[in-house]
Order: sequence, then structure tokens, then C-alpha cells
Amino acid sequence: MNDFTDPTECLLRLHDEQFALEDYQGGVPRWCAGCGDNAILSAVQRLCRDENLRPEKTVFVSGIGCSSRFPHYMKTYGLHGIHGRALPLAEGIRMTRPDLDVFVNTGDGDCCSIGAAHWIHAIRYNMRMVVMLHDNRIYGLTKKQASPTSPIGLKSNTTPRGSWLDALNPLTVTLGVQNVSFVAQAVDWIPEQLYAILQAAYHHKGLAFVRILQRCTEWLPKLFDEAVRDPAHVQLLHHERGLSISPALAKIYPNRLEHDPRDINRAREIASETDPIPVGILYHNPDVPCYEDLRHHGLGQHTPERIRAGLEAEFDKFTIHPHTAAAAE
Amino acid sequence: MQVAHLDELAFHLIGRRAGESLGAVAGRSLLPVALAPYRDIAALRHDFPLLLAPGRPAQSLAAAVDAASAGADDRFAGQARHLEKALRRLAAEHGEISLDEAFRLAAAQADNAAGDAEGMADSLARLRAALPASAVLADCTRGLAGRLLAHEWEEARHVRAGRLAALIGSLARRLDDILKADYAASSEALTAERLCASMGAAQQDDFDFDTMARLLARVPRKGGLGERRKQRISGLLDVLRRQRFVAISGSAAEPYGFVFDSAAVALEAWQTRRPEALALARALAMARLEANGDYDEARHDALFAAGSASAPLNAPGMQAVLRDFPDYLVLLDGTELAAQAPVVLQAFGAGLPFKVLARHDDLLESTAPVPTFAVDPLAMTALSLGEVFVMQAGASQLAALGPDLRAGLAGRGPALYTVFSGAGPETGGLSPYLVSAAAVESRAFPSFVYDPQAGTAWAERFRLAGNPQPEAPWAEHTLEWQDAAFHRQSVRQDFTAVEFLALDARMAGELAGIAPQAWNDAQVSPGEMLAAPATEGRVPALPMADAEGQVHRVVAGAALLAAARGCQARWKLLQALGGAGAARPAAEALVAAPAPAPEPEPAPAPAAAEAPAAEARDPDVSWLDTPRCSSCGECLNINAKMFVYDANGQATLADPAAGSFRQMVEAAEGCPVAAIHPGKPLDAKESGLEDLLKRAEALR
Repeated sequence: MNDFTDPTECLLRLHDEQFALEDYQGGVPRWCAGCGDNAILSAVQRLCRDENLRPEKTVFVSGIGCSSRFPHYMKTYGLHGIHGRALPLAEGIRMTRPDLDVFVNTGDGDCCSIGAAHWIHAIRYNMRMVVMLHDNRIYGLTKKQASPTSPIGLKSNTTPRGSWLDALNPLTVTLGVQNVSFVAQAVDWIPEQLYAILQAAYHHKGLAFVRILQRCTEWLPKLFDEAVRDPAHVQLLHHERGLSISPALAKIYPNRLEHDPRDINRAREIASETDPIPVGILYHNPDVPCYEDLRHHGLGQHTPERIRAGLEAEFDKFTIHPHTAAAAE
Repeated sequence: MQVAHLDELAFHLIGRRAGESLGAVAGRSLLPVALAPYRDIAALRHDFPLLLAPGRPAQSLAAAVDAASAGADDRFAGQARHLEKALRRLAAEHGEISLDEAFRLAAAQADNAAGDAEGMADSLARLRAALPASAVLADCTRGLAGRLLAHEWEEARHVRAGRLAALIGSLARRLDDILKADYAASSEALTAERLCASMGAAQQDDFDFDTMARLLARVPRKGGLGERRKQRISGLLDVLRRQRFVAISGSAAEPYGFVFDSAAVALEAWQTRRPEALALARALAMARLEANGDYDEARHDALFAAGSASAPLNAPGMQAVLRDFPDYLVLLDGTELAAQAPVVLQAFGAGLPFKVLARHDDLLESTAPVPTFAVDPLAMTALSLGEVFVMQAGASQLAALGPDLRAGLAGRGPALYTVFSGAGPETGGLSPYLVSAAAVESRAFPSFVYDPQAGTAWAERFRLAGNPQPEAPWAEHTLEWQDAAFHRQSVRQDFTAVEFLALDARMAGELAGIAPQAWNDAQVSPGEMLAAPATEGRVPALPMADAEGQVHRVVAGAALLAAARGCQARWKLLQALGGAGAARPAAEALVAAPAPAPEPEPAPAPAAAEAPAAEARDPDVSWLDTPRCSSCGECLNINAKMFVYDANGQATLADPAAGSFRQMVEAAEGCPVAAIHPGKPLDAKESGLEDLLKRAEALR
């Protein structure tokens, strides 16, 4: 993801370090027992190690929610942002520090509710980053309120008689936005495919949107039970341009579909399916331009001198100069 | 069921041509309908002509033009296609034509065709520049197989000869340097006039060479080469310089030829050159030791003594050198095969590096009373030898089988190429490409590749490469035609050996056209006749098209059907050898069909990659399905010695004995993805075991 035009960068690269899983492990996760976030964390740490990402050149950005505790558990740079604003923060980082690998962890509330406007435009901007939507279909941190992706009829603390509206489908929404370039769906209980999808997302040049269906063992323990227990409820997508399925996995999951990730119309059809759950890359178009490539960006744009000059100019607008003030009197 | 008219039945069974409904087919230029659209093959894009350019493998013109116009603008791509067609026509007319000449003629044609010539000259120049400089266009003619094989053989030989020549050259130079260095220190080289000559004309007045010679003569000489070593080195140099196996620039010796049109001559040449080849190999081994200063007279003299010619061949690195000696290419005509076969087999049996092309122009050995396909005396016997590369193919397949063809030439062992050229005497001017393709499609001349380098098992070595629809008894095509009411009709059409034989003018007596008013349902396709167990009352009738594209129905004699049955039987044998046919679909079904869904029990089948013997897993032994672990850490919270994380941060069962069975069952119950299988308790005395076993049972 990095471009090595900076001399310091080149020097650093001379030290070709090899990292272990422990190099990425931050604090001990405080998620509930059996939480699906653990699987995502484990897959991401594996990805960092296998791609040999330097911790000081990697940044995880999140908003608010259970999933957004993610940066605390990564021993990289991280930014636990404000509610719904993970994507604009990540875009800012991408713009000023194109040398960093940017990952975004956001939840179904953070992304699809309060942050929905940012989500739409981040897709359209198509800046290079991996966006993981941890979708457990419930507000967990605040103890069980319906989220935009909660299934219709779900009884929660805010919908005691069952939710009234159909669930929002983040995949079809994303696939409907202009400039969309990578959309995939993973589930936390198939770690092998989760890892493969994140790896493909990391290698995508542009915004890679990965919706990860994730079990909330505390507030919705039964929601994905059927799909976890019976492989027939999961449909693995494969294609020569997408993912391949290992023989071991093929043995467990009989329900497979060959799908060309370049075909957006078919991707939209598949995205609308809820049973079986499609797992794999739905859409991938490497030719969509990235916003940062279209605009002036990069290191050296924000030197301390320039920031200082800019701030001074702003402050000057409000400064009262004694002599001019006296002259005016 | 309708019964065939007596006239057709009589013709089919005994060849009696009577009645008004039967007509002759000779001279009407009829083709089986499957081939009819390709009558003018040069107008259609296919994998011929081939582009043979020195220094690169043969390539089809179409592929080369595609590569040249990839990413180019539409106009150039369109005009390149247009030029390609012109080149293809020229190649078909001439058989073989140099690319320069073809472009010259194509340019002249383009000039004559006034009108849409805008930019044509430019496209012509661009296309010419994109194609190799000194190339030849070779169409699928009688000589194509020989020409192609010679080209690819030359490419393979060129690489090896280059290596060998470089080795010989460098060793010769190094030996020469040793002699020169020795000479420079000898008393001969230290005379005044030699010193003067070695210094050059410019300094002649600055030195007193007599004094210099006197002074130098007084310096006692140490070492020196010794007479024996000097003689040995000059002997070696002599051998290296006089060798004729590879061309070395500046060497006077004319290199040997390695292309023959007779196996006997080739074998004789190999035998007469053998002592020379061994001497060269021996000289190379000795020269290498000499050049490195490793030659030890006490040890090596005996080893390299003239008597033990084979000893140096075992020296380290010598086998690699021997592999670079040129192969012998023998190009044989089908008519000479019977006479040459014993010699070829003798060479093959001895494992000599002979690459043999056996070209067949006519597949029929006899035409009456029953057409009989010629039995190749070589291919099957060569297969039985086990270590001979064998490739059988129609000339039309050669472009597609290029990689296999090169694999045979790249190997050091013997190789046999049996090719049907399609340029038979009686095919009425039909393109050899079509005839040979028809022979392959109908299984009259199936193609296969046997490569002993590809593996140890027969299945790895033998492939039915290049046959269309290898699972079927013959190729099938869908035909579309227009009936009398101008409606589009489509029908599945088999292409059996009967259809292939119908191309042969000698078979005209076995075919009779049926007048349209006599067409009926008892006239069935030859494929149906061959497949059906009982055929009473029916006659084989094949649709054939004339030059105008009109379809006729033609009844075939029993002899053609009998010949086709023979082909069918031989093809079945090949299918069995290649693992195709009855065995193949079953195997493919196993691979392609989705794995059977697991039992309705919650625990799915274990992953196979981690545990190959998954099915055989003992249900009493506890285990953890690591690939399914979602890293929640619950089991580690229960007992971090029993369960540990692996390098990927997923849990494994490190030591089932590190904790109680209770912990095992609790961990299994708590696992959100049910990846832990508790098995049976290790300690039979653990308390509350009955209840635990019941809980464990529920987890299975």
C-alpha cells in the first residue's frame, strides 16, 4: 500500500523486519465471552503479520461501539474517534499521510445509523482503506437496542413489541453508491474465509468495504445459530478472479456459487439474499479512481511552518491591534 | 417402427445399386454436413498458418496478429484482421511462403483494391514491424509436420549447442593459455628476437634485447609444464578443435548434419560418430581437470586410459555435458515405415537420442472388400518400450499441441511423433487441415501424448490430449439448416469414422444418394447405428452437403460401418488407457459433485486439510477443529494448559491430560462454533462422570 519515494522510508525498508503475532497484540480484549469480534481481531492480526505491516506505519480508526474498541487491542497506531465519524477521520489520515495503511472498524450503529452520511460519501470518494463493518445487528455496548440492521420483529429495549421496519442491507446500499469498488461479506465463524476476504480487501486499491456478520453472544445469542450449526445456510462465493475455496472448506460447505466479482448486477442480486448467507467477494473493480490520486496530497503538505502560518492567519482575523484600534478611535 | 425401403437395405447390406431412388455420389463433391461450413477453410480464422521464426517457438498467425493488435486502436485491429486473411490465403496458395514475400503480395493486393485504402499502408507497416523479421508462414500441408518438427528441433538444438560450444570454447581457451604461459617462460621465448617481437615495433630502439635475453637466460627456471603434460594438453586441444558436433566460430571443422530421412543412415552415422563423441566427452572431462589444475597423473592416467572409454562419463558434471550433444532428427514418410520400423525400434530400444517423425498421408491400408485402417508398426511398440516419448496427432492439432511437441524434443531420450498429414491421394482437393481434423474428430486417428518424463505412473504419463470431447465415443456437433419451408432446424450430428471415410473418393462405391421422396425414419445416422445393439430394418444414412450447401441424404454400405466399429473399439482401448471413457466420468463426478451435506447433527464434518483421515477419526478421542476456531479465548479461560493458541491465534488441543474431563466438556459446551469434541474421559475415576458423559454425548 505504501509508496516508497521518501528517503527515510527507503532507509527504514533496509531493515526488513519480520513481525510476530505478538507484535500486533495490544490490551487483552474486554469483549464478552464468545464475542465474534475476537475472530475479526485474530484474523486482522494474522493479516498484519503475514503482510509484514510495520506497526508504526499502520493505523486503525474507529467510532463508537463494541467493535470500535478494536484499536485498543492492536499494538499499532489507532484512533478511537467520535460516534459515526470513523470514516471522515480515516479519510483525513489517508490524505495527509499516504504512507500509512488505514483500517477502519465500525459497527452497524456507528456506520449505518449516525454515520450513514459519511459512509455514502466515503464509498464515493473511494480512498484506499479497509473498512470492516462489524455487523451484529444490535446495539451491544448500550445493552440491547434495535439497530438499523436488526431483523424485523426483533424485541429489544427500544422496540419492546418488536421492531417495525425491515432491516437495512448494508451490502445493497454500498453497491448502489457511485464509485463503489470492493464489496465483500464475511462471517466471523468461518475464520479461513474471513482471513482470505480481509487479505483480498487489503490488496485492493481503493475503499474495500467488508461487512462481517458477527455474533453477539450476550444480547442476540441465537440470531446466527442456524447458520453456524448448519452449513447449508451459508453460500460460499468463488471465482478465478475472486476467492478459491480450500478442499477442507469445500467439504464442509456444500453450498457454493461461482460468481464473477466484475458483475455488479449479479452482485446486487446476491447481496439481496439473506438465506443462505452469501460469503465472499461480491464486487471488485480495480479500475475505479481513488480520490487521493485525483487531488494534491501527501507528505510535506502539512509542515509545522505551514500549519503555524495558517493558524496565525486565522488568529489574525480576531486580533485587535492596539495602534489601529487607537487610530480608529 | 418404419422399415427401410428394400432398395436402400439391399444397397447397405450387399451393395446392390438398383431402383430409381438411389443415385451415385461420385463427382458431386459431397461433404459430410459437419464439414460443409469449412469447405473454404482459408477464409476462416483458425490456428494455421503457423509463423516459424528463428529463435522462437512456432506460433499461429492468428495469435501473433492478436498480440500485435492488443490495445491498439480499432482501425488498426480491423485492418490487421483484414491483412491476416490475405496472408492466410497466400499461405494456403503457396503452402509455405516467407513473411516478407507474403507482405509484398498482400500490399500489392491492398493497392489494387481501391477505395478503403486509407491508412492501410500504415497498418501494413505496423503489422509487419510487430511480427518477427525473418519468418516463414507455413500452412497445414503434407510437409508441415516435418517442417514444424525440424523448426522446433532446431530451436531446442540451438540452445543446447550454444551451451556445449561455450563449454568447449572456454576450456580450449584455458588450455591454450596454459600452453602460452609455459611457452612465454621457456628458453625459446627468451631469445633476443622473440623478446623483440613480443614487445612490438614502437619500443625496439629503447631496449637492448640481447642483454635482456642474456640476463633472463641466467635466471634459473622453476617448474614448467613437463613434457608429458604439454603433450597431453596439446592432444586435448586438438580433440576440442577438431570436434564436429557443434559449430564453433573460427573453427575449420565442418559440423555434422543431424537431420536424416532414413533411420538406417541415421543409425549408421550415430555408430560411426560414437568413438568421436566418446573421445570428445573424455577430452572435456580431462580438459576440465587440466584447466583447474586438478589433473593427478597417478590417479587420472589410469581412469582416462584409452581402454576405459566409459569411465569419464561418470565424472561429475559429465552427464550434463552429454545431454547437450545434438539429437538425431529422422523424418520418415508413411510409405517407408514398414521397412524402417525395425531400425527405429532398435534405436529406441537402445535409448539413443533419436527424434523420429512418422508421417502418414493415407490411413487406409486396403479399400476392398472392407476398408481397413493401416496399423502403425511403430507407435504401439514404442509405447510398450516405456521410456520413449510418443505423440500421435493429426497435422491440424500440431499448432495446439505445440507445448507437448516441444516437451518431447526437450527431453534427452528417444521420441516418436506419429502424424497424419491429411494430404491423402483421394480427398478431392480438400484442405489437409480439414481431413486431418476429421480423422481426429471421428477417432479414426485419435491423438495422444505419452511423456515418460511427466511422472512415474501411467496415468501421469499418458494423456488423450487434443481430442475433442474425449469422454464421448466420437465428436458430436450441433447442425443448423434450413428446411424447404425456410424454417431453421437444428439436429445433433455424430462425426463417426463413417463420415470420415465418406471424404475418401475410393469409398464412393459404398455410398449412394437417396432421392428426397424416399427419405424415411428408418434411415438413421451412422452414430445411432453404431451405438444401437440391434439394427435390423434400418440403414445408416448420413447427411452430406454439396458445394452449394444443399443437403443430401446418403446411405452407407455395411463395409463402412464395419470399419467404423473397428475404430470405435480401438478408441475405447485408448480411453481405458487414458483413464477416460467409463472410468473418467465417474472420477470426475466425484470431484465435481458437491460433498454430501453433513448429517443433521450439529457438528459438521471435520476439515480435511488439517486431518486427512478425518472420516476415520475415533469418536472416543478428544480433538479440536482448529480451522473453525474463532479465537474467542473461552477455552483458554477454562484451562490454558489444555488449550493453547497456535501461530495464527487459533486454539489447539495441546494436552487433553492437562485438565479434567469436566473442563473439557465445559469448554466444548462454551465453544461458540462447536469446534471442541470432548471424546471419552481419560481418567475413569473422575467424579460426576455419568452426568459429564451425558453432556458430552449431546455435543457429538
